[in-house]
Amino acid sequence: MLLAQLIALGTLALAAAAPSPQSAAVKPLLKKYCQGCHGPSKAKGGLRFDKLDYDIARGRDAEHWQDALSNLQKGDMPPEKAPQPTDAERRMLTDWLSSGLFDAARVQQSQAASLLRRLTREQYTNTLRDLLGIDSDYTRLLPPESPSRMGMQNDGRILASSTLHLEQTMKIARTALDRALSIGPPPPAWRFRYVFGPQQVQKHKSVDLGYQAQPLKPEEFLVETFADRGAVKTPTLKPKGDLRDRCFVDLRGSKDHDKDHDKDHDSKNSAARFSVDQRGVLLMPAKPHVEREAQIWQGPNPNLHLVLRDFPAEGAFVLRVTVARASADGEAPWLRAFAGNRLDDGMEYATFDRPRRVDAQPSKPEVIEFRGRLENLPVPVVDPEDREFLSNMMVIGVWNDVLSGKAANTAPALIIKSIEFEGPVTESWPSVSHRRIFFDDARKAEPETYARQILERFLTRAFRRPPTEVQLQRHLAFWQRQLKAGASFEVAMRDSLAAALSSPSFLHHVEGTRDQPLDDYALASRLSYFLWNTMPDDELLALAAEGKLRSQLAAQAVRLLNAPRSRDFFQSYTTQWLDLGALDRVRVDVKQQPRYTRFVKEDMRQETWRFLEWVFKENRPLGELIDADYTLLNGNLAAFYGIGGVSGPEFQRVKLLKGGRGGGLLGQGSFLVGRSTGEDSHPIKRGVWLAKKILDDPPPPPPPNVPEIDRENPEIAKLPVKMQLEIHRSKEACRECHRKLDPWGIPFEHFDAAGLARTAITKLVAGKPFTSPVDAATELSDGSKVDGIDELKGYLLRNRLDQIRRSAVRHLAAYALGRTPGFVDDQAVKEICAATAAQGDGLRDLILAVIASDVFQIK
Amino acid sequence: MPKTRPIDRRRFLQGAGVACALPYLEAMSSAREAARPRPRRLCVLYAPNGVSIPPPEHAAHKEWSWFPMGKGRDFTFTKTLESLEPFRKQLTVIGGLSHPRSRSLLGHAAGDTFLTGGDIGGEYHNSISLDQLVARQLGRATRHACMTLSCDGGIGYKSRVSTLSFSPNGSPLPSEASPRQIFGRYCNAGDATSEEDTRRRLLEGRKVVDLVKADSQDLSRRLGRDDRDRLDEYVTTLAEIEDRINRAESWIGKPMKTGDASHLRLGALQVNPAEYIRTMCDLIVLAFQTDTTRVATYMLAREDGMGWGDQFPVIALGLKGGHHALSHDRTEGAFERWARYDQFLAQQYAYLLKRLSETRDEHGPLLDNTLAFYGSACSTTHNARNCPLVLAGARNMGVKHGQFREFGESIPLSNLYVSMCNALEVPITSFADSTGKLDQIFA
Repeated sequence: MLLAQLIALGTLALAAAAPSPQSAAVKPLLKKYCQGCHGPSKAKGGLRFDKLDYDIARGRDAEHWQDALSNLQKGDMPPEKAPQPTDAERRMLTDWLSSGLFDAARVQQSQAASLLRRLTREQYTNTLRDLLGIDSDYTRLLPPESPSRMGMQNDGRILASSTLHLEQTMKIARTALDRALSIGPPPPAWRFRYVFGPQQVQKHKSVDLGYQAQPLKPEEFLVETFADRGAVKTPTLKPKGDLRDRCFVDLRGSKDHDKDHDKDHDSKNSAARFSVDQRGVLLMPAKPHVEREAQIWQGPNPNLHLVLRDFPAEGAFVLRVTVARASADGEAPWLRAFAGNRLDDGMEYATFDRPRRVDAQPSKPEVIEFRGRLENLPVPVVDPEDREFLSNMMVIGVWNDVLSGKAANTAPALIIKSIEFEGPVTESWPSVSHRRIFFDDARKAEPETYARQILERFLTRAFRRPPTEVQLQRHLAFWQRQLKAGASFEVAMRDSLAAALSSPSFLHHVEGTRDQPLDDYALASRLSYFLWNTMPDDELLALAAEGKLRSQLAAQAVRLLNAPRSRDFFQSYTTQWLDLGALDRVRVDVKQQPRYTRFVKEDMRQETWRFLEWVFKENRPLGELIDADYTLLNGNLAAFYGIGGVSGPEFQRVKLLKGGRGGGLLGQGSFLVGRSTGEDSHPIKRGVWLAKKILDDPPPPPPPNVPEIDRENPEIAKLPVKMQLEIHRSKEACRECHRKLDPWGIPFEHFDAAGLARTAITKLVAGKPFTSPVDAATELSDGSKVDGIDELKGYLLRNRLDQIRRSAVRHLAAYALGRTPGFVDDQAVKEICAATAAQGDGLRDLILAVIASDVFQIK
Repeated sequence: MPKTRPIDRRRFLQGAGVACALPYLEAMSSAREAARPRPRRLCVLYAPNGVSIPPPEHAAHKEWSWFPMGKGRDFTFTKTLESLEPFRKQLTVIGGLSHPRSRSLLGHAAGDTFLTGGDIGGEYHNSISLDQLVARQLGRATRHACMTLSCDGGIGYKSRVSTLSFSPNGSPLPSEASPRQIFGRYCNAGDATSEEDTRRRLLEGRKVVDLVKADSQDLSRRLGRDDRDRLDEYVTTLAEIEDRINRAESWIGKPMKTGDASHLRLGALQVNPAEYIRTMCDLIVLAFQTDTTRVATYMLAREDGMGWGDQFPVIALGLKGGHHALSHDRTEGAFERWARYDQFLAQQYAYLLKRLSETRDEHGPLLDNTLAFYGSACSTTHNARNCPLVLAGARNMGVKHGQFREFGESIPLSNLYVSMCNALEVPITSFADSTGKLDQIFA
């Protein structure tokens, strides 16, 4: 079949060589109807018909002609008020465009091939993790990728190599191998245990740890150290180098009674947020800090953290917390661990490991272990020369992760008996990752043979295909040179493996030659980077080696989707497709929205990717992207949205009541906040997002120097947003695009800048609050009238489902292929859509249809 | 409050007036070298804690406001900046600029973003600093890409760093504080052991480059045309890295260019602020003169009473309390006391400008090819807006000097940095949160 295609392609290419005789006939029509706005005098949207290449099939402008055809067919162009072509003229244009584009699709088919492209920084770090078995995050050390027009960061035409990038990867390669291998003696370990409660041994210093510090008193804790992984050493606290200068405990920023911000506070029913007694430190549910200076740097209130001035620079560590519930019954408390560095006004911190529910009864504390790697957390970069007392202070600790912040007697409180830090943790020496590379083998005795075996195994995994004999020889020769230069067997091997991690075969997706079906190894990689965002595992590589992968592709795809690792795909894909990064670019005004915290923001992000994870994995119908009677929430986000009955930090499927906040992507905070100004809704941004992401009908970029709506003018600021937009549209330069765009954003007016429902809009006009009712009624460009989000959803499901399916397919394909699907892929996209629709529009089926398609399997 | 350190630990033998024997090799600065394109340089001095700006209704306003009176070309320095008068035609005083994302910080933390424009208001996300961006390009021609100096050395800690320089991923880069060590590192060709180490390190790098180059050629043969083009991009990058290794190797064993080190007081210590700061400035001038580096940053002191620099007003001027305390003082005469220290700092900056204008290389006075930038992240106490800034020098780079320019808050400070980069021929169109360039200062 493929051969036939190729032959057909060849003949067509020849046939298309002569320009279509019709070109001469359509030129005057285009001049008459289009060039007025898209010609020498105006060039709207940057488009000039007098400059386009009229040889559609072989020219460079097929994409533009494709747009022209689609606008002509939709009736969007020429615009209503402009002179319209007659039916005959319209047909002539349509025929000329369609046949030209049909030829172009055949002729330019080969351009559809995915390009050689480097791993994105996420793929790179995930690949190193799986190759070496060490979960270090290197993304922060590499420059970020810029997104393609469709939002994808893995687009081969955009991903570029830079000196900075390559320099960094070379450095990282060496670091990563040092972390994975056990060369030399095991590193020294730090191990401290802080026991809380009134103590007898009393020599700790009381130190001022800065603004809003809340250190435990020296008599309220005891620090124990351990003889090298052995028994507890009771501290003597006498000789120099003792613990007094190195270990502190702080609840900085935590307050007994947070009068300013605590609406739950009422004297009858409130208890201290934290206290110390015989049992240990009692922690009430934490109240997230308001995102305003200076609370912003203090962490949730209360949080209990160790302050260490002496700690390892990197490596795996474990935090062991001896903890119990404060009361035998009622809602269970949760424990969350975090680490970071002391700032002068507070701390910079990040959480690690997952939150744990604490079930241990008050009389029987349990030990909960949290694991992480120091280099992944914002711990201080230690400067040994810097002897400033406040420099190099690491913080590590916990809070009660029931984020309601209620300090009532009935609130689920925790008792922390002790916290122990140990790191770096070496479970065995040499480590598992070391033994995976320097594996046990009978031929270990012959260094040359053994080295060759090691390299062959490693390169096969690193390059995601077996190395050629020439490659293998070259890398073996490198090892030999290092050996000759005086390195030991292992050190020479480390150098040589590190060098391999700078090889183009490691850093790039190598997929063979264009127009050819991918070989099994390339297919294994494509599948794995698609659904796991990382290298293929042993099973995929084994199937590829046996040549059996192609026949089991669908089954393997399902296996990958069902594995926990597919989370990397859902997080990454959702972030790129729906542009969740927008959440970080918008700073919500916390004067208006004090409850909008970084925890809410993070949970909004999670809601969206977990929702997509659910609908894709469960094969839910496409329409649920637009509307569903459920969503995924945790206690914190549910409380923010005002939905009751959800508790704990874990996300769960929550049934939504009729008439409330609906399900589907359109009612989610990640979109509503991400497309707001931070102070108010932004209907244009919301409209553009819907057009781009959901309908795949992106507006052309705005012309340079567009006048903004003058919101500073009180007369304009007072007007409802719809009127403001109408004024905006009255400007000639803006009208055509915004006539189509604005209506998409209006129905969301019931949601404010923080994504919360509202019935009236209050804003400051010239310093005074000004209230107007919400008006979410609009007329779409096809004349349909919708009022509010529910009607919009209904309209989309009834009238635009085909377009939404096409958008879902094209975005998914763009991500899977690492390129923007062009008009040449239209046929394939249509087939995938048809196959999905025929099967009942299940979203997992949609993924499988993309994988089953030729565009996925042929380069 | 940070502890003051015992002085003894830092008291080196004060090598007053030691003439540092630099190899004088006239042959090295031959006609060939003079024919090289004119170097472009950047130097940044930073002062913490903002400056004294008595409000207009205050009696001390006209005398002791940091910003000049008047505007445009028609301005008069107050006592604070009067030492800059000789350079009036070679500098521009800039007001009104700040980093929008740092405006709401508790002033001192804005020191972390002065040269980066990074976003540390909520979660801490810092980014590359101006000097490092510039050094990536200008540093290709010199032995050292940049020089990062401060009063305290090291990096301090986030929110109160002791360096102005940040790497591409926003990590603080260690600074150096000891004149003797700085001289040893930047102004000496290096001893045999360290040269041997460098050579070995570079050789390792070269071996890796050779290996992956061979891998690339191999891979290239198996690829289609389009992919080969893409791989070429990687190969070009590889060649650039090889080039860097070659350049680094070529410096080994190469004698230093001549420079005048006779006036250096390498034993200068922080206990003598004027001498210490001037020695640090001398080191920058020497490094520029010998073309050892073209990019230098110098944090005169840390924010918020941290480190040595806080005591400078006490030691140098006998003012009571540290610099941080001065900036918070609201008692009678406080504006003047604070301003007298601003004046002291301006004098040190004037010294740097003087030295840069007196010292010449084959292209004339160093100052004419150097953007010498001075500033603080705060204007008044804890107020990270309206940064007090002076941009001097670089006559040959099209700077419109001799003015006092004020800008509105709609213009981010980063716009100035874009223009500075462009003047240095670093072709960027945006920096951090910039919205354009600052054409009003650059031709």
